[in-house]
Amino acid sequence: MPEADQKSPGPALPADDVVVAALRLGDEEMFAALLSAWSPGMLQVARAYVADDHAAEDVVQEAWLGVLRGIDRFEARSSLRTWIYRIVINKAKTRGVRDARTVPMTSLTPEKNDAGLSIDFHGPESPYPDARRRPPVVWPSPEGEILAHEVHEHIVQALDNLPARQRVVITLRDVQGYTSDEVCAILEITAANQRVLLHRARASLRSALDRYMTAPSGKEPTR
Amino acid sequence: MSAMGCDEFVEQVTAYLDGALDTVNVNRFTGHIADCDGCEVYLRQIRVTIAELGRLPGPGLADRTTATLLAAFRDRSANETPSEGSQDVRGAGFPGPLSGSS
Ligand SMILES: [Zn+2]
Repeated sequence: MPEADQKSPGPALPADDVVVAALRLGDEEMFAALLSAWSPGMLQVARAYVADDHAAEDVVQEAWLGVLRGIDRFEARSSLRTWIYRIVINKAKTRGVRDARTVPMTSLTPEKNDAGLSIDFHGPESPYPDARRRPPVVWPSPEGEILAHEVHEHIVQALDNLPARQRVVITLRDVQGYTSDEVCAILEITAANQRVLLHRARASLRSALDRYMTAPSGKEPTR
Repeated sequence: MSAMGCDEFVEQVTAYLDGALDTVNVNRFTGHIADCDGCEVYLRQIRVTIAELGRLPGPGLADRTTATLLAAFRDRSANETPSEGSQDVRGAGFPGPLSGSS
């Protein structure tokens, strides 16, 4: 089932069968509308697997060319958007593996940051396993354009530090606003697995924002 | 039913926000917020984090890439013969990077 695209500017896209028929008939306006609606999310997803923005752009271009080659054979067993995201992820993984052979890329280490969430708590062997080492402190509300911009920079940096699978899930769910069902379909994972990845990613992002928001006078804390 | 501790609360935040907790656990979850300022703050921060992620400006394709893809699309449409016979020969004269096989 096609879903409303929460973040796409401009008018919503028509149903999949209409879009697919238009593409097969050479409706260039429809193709241009898809390019602007879905490419931003595709670029962000590709970026989880490859070294830089340039490589992500290459991957997305390749993916769209793959879509053009394959659209006549598209059988609607998934939504069009799910099908296209699977193509971009496959191409991004291939590119990421190829580049990793020549470029040292720590960001592809799969187990990075995959440690889970217990860092905010004392371990189970502690007499107070339930007590936080440091209770959460209320964040000041960011004021003005500059602060919002800084927050965004910190978020982008924190996304860069996530393992690829966590990054893809949080990008699709929270940046692009796709449903849990669609993300499970795109990545072909279970709802439980998807939730674990999202949970870890959100916890990491919250910690990163917390370090920024509670740092004295805009400086990073030394801890 | 046992009360929820802070560690369990943190573990269940995403399930709670996704509406994936059963009624008993929703009640334990919201019951914990009522008693624990720290977790109330934590939940609010998670919501702010999600909201800020949703406000990230999205990257667009470079103009050059868009032009390449539109040219490829025109090329494809020109090379295939649609069954309807409504072949559209727009874009002749557009020197797209991928044009040429006509
Ligand atoms: Zn608590």
